[in-house]
Amino acid sequence: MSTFTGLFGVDSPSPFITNPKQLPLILTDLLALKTNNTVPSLSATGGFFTSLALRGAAGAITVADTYATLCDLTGSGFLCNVVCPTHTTAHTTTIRVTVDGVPYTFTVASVTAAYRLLLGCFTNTASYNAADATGSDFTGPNSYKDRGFNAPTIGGVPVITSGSVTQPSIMTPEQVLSSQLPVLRFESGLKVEVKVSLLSATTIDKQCGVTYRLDL
Amino acid sequence: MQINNITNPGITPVDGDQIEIIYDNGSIERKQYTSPIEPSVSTPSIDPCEFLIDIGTFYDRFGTAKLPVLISTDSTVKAIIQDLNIRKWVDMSRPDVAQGVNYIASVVPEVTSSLKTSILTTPVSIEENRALRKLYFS
Repeated sequence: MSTFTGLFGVDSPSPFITNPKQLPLILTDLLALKTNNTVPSLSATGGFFTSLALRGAAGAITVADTYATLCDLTGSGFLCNVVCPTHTTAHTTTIRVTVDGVPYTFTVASVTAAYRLLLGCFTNTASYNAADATGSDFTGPNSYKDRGFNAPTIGGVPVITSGSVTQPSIMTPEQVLSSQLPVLRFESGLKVEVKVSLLSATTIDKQCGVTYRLDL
Repeated sequence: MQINNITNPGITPVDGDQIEIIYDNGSIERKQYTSPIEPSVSTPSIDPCEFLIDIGTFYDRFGTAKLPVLISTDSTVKAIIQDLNIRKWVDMSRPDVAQGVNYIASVVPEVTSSLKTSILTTPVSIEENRALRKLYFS
């Protein structure tokens, strides 16, 4: 944990999260990320995970109820997001994040078919309609495309259902860091593993990914 | 930076191979290899509304000549106005729009040559097509 002498001349705790259980966690049927200023990629396509891997790692589960290792890092850096696999029927999703040798496990049962577990920050919704006056910039809280408080929960995890042109969207690690959004800090190592209780026959359902940035 | 293929040692990694990347600062990444995407040259995005203008704001472009145009008794001018009013927007890139404005300018003296040029060549602003963007393109 880093400390610094702040404005008041006292040591202050690190501004970064070290316990992944303090990161945002949602379930969503469709995630977006931008691959260009007005070009989105959705988690229903392989291109989403190919692009995500540019800022982390992508992988796939191959056996039901068996962990797939998305990344095993030695060193220091930041974890931004974990995008889990899904299944065509209700299932249980588990994430195991080992931070500096300490494992943390998240398990969500009765996940609705086609929904993915997302760990880490996200924008409320992203408008990627090129004709929109705001272009493809992500929107802030309580914007006109924000789902707001109507999101139900499964196992205590909020469920955000996508709209026709609006989805929860993840950002690049550099944007997350630049915007001072919640990230997980690791100092010696990070390992991210995911598993789903059932193995889908659909390739895209089995794909998953993680975004992170090692210290330069 | 050194990249080692764990799945197929000594072989150039392909998608799906487990790799190990060792950085100069000592950090190590172990993950599945994904082929890098080559940076692409930025190309301007295509805005489908670039040349579209709301009907009302199109008429507003005529300024003080708007009413003389609307009350014109010329049958062709009346037909042009009727044709405009049944549409959801005016597509300024269509040649018949320029033909129509040219004809109106020929019979309505208040539509001067400079006004006609301004109507036909001024780029459509966001304020001039906000309604059609919201209704049909969002």
